[in-house]
Amino acid sequence: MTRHGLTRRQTLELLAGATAAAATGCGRGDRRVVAPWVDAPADVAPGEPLRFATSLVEDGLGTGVLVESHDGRPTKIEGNPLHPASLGAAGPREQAALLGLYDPNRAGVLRQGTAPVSLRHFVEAFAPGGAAVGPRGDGVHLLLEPTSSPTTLRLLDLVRERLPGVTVHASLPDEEESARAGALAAFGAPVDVLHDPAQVDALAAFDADPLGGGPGWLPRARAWASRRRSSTDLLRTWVVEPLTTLTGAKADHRLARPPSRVPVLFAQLAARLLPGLPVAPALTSAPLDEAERAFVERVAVDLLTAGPRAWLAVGAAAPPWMHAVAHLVHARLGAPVRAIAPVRLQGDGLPPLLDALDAGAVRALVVLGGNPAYGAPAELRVASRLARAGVLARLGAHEDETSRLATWFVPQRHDLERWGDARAFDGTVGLIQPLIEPLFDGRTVDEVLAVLAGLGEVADRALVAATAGEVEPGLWRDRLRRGVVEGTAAPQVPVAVDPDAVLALARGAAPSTPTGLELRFTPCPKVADGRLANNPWLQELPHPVTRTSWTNVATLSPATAARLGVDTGDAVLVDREGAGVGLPVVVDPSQADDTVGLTLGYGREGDEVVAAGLGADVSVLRRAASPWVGDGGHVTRTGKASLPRVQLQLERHGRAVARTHDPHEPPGQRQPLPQVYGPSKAHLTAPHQWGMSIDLSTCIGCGACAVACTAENNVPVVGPLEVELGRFMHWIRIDRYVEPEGGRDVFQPMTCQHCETAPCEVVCPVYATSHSPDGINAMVFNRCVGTRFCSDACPYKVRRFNWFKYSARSPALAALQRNPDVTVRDRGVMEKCTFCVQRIRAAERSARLAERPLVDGDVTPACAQTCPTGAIVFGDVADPESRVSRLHADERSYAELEELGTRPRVRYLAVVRDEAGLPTAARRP
Amino acid sequence: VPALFPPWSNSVIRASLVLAAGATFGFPALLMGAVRSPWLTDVGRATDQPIRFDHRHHVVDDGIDCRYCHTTVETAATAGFPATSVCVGCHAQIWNDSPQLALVRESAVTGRPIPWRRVHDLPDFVFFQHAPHVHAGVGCETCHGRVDRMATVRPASTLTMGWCLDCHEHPEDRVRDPYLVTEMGLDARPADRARGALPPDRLDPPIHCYGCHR
Repeated sequence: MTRHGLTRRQTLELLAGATAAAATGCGRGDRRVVAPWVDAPADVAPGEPLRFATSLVEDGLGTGVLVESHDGRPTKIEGNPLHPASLGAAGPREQAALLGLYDPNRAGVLRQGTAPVSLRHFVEAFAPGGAAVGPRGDGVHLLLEPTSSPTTLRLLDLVRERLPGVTVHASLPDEEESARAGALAAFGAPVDVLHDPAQVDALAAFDADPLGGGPGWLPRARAWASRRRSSTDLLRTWVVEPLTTLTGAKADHRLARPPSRVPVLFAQLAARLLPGLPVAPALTSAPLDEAERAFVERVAVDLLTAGPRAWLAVGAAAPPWMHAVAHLVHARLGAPVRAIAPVRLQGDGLPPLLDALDAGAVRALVVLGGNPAYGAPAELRVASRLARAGVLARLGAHEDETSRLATWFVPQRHDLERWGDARAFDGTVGLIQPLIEPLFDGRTVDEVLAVLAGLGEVADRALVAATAGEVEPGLWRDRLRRGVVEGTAAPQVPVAVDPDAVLALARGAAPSTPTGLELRFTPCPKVADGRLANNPWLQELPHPVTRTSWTNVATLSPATAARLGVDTGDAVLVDREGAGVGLPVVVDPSQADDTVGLTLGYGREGDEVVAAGLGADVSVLRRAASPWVGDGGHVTRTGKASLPRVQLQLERHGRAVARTHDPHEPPGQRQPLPQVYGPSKAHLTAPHQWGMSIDLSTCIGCGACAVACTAENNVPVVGPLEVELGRFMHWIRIDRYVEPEGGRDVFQPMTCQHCETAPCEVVCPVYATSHSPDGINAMVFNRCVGTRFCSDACPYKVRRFNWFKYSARSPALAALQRNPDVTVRDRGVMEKCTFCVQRIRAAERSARLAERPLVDGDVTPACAQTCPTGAIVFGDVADPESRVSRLHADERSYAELEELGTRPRVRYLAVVRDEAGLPTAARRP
Repeated sequence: VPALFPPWSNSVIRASLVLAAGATFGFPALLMGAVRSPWLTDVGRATDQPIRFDHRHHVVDDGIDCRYCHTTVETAATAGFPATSVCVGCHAQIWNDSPQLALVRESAVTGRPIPWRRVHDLPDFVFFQHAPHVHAGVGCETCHGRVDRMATVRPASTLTMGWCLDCHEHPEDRVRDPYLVTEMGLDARPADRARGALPPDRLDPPIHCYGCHR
């Protein structure tokens, strides 16, 4: 082809340049105002972020975090490496807590009835002798969220001292209720039991999800992952469960069975592990099918071989006897179980309070945090019973279901706005310090307790300082800087399992004969029991298993769905004993037959604008006696539902994607296809060449990386309608792949592969995407004109297009969160993963100014930084000694779609799965 | 049949073709010229400041180094505007009752910052960093001009991408001894400037998109 005159590209360049000039050239406004310090603090430069250590509290337990603050605005949360509950990692909820701070729907008005009042009025009414509590506090009840805070406990003692008539109802998470009862029966005393998966060779989980949440899940997931990288040192994982949990998805061997079968299989396993002991005789005699018998036998052999290195995990839905029997098994096998005194304040929570309310004995009720009026099984009628309190005072972040009932409402401050303290799952005390002045006029639990204790209006800082006592200022600053108080981990307590008590508890277990469909309820892995439902980042994050966002769904197995004549995307009515809930259906190939999976946390009816109208509240289907499982369910198709779902295909259709490592496969057997692009590396001239390794074996699909990326890179939230149209903007998505018959799930984080010969670059008419000399597929937002050719050319479908000005749709308050080091994208612009180039440039600058070379580990993108299991490793592939280079050279390493010749800089490590081999102990060399 | 078009219509059509061609290329050229003109780059345009601060006096008469007030230029992205306390450090003693400094005194007493106006303002998609430039030996005057001769600060450079790249492609012609970055007038004496400057192999400014954009 001969060329003459202007080429097509040059013409477009000139036109684009001229148009851009016309668009940007006009109307320069006034000069921007710069407001310098009046008295500048030392070592603070405008625009340069500072980081502070603090803790975020969930279910009463602290997780240590480091919060990045840009000119006084908290902009990013990362895990605190010194904190035992984090070890540097942060889960999706910790990441998203940042947006919770900037939630414009948070309550900001202290009110009595509907009238705004001052704090002084509240203090007068609720101080000892005040109108609401009286001189002794008789008939006054306190309902507390789970708490471990030393300051809160100290103030509670003061309240009890000052108001001896007060009844304190401490709550603990509902999901842990059964485990608590089991431990109490087995050990004779309440204890917290901690397992270290790094010391385990065989894990059998019975409808339990140790990787998916619960106290200490971040370090637990990291320890589990440390034993999942090599087939010779594998923590073999066996799972029996009705729905798909993250642990089940990662299992080597998994049996999907309805909830009613789980105790039967457990009892028969326990009988094998505890020969001679009569464990649940009514269940051990129940018949098993062939698959079940083989599975139980193999688990038993593996656990017995592992001996002290065995772990039998039992979940929330299991009755207490199963937890107790698991403790007995550990004792018999000699497993080194670490028991500590309970970290949180023990109590029975809501039930005794409801009894007192029914008896009309509650003169005043003070609800500190939580949202008891929502989410409990509907038959308990919690809301109407709470309303029987003479006075209901409520400290809460939102005007939610419980706040509606309140005669006094006090807004609650966010964890990032307050002083406080919280203990980690292992007892370590972490300090909470504010990152910002309160955005809304709130108070803390401690401040309200101080009022009740007659201390009056005391600021949270003084309360925490008083708990710490006389501390040398340097030591106090050091604790604040580190975020943890050294040496405060709870000591191990000696415990012994009482076999007779365990067997007595287990004796009563009877087989159930379920009718209709079985129901299994779980808290949402994203918004928990609904308390985080107003957080758009968590709503937009796809559910790891159903791949849906912005709603809860009813999950069914393919066979059951076919029998009922429903399919993914249908609207159904799930009903039980006359009460029904309408939900969209998602068919999960890995799920057990005859079971409906239902998620809590949706159908919220508070004043939270984001949460309103999303999903449906399933509490009418729950029963207080058995809150997590049930039967007698019916599913009827009612039509089509709108279903925001980001992945419509879970199968591989014969392609070698999301691979499983086969140690026997001869290397290099795949024939590369003819290459479209030359092997030229002439454009890769920089000394550092960036690359990434993602370990599919240790990715547990939790979604922390996606939320971290959203926070770091100003990724906009698009909402349910746009998600349904396929316009979600996440720069990293976690694809789920399953076998056609279900099981053997693989989570595959998919982001821009930064191909050395990138198909997207050659089709861009305006050079908006090009390759940087250090090997990054650069996307220059201000140059993009939105042809979307690049997205069409990308074989990985990781480019995202701003169909609208999504960034302008978020509330003004949420804009305070944005990272000033990353451009906020406009309408009509393509965007995608940049390898967090802002972090690379910042690290390069630091090294240059310090006149030292960049070393491995200086640059960590947001996804790799937060990953609980360390599945993502980033670094310089030109340095053969870097971690990423070594992982790229691993025998498990491969590139997705490498036959296309795109030469991705992101390479994957294939899943290690135990096929049918020997127990781990026998394989260890 | 009478002629549908009179003879002069040929001229009209030819003239329109010439005009259309002129407009097609001339209008974009006009716009491209406009954004490069001082009218839109603000080169040489003074900005009204809340205080009539005179760099000439402070730099030449008093011999104050740029970094005395622009404290973060060697460590951070922005050079920084001086805190009121920096002004008051001297002006508590001298000219402490000058009416021109009323705003400084007010700021020091009330704690409200002085609302300076930004003179050099880059688009938000450009991530410029002062520190590496200073570190490499790019003098203040190389971009900001002879501030020591300015009564009010006026931009001396266009700050367009082409202007940036001119230097990024040939930095060795522009840099100096990093210890002399604040020295004024050195750009006029290339021989002096070249003394002590980093060797070309230690100058590797980015000339790709991700150097400054993201």
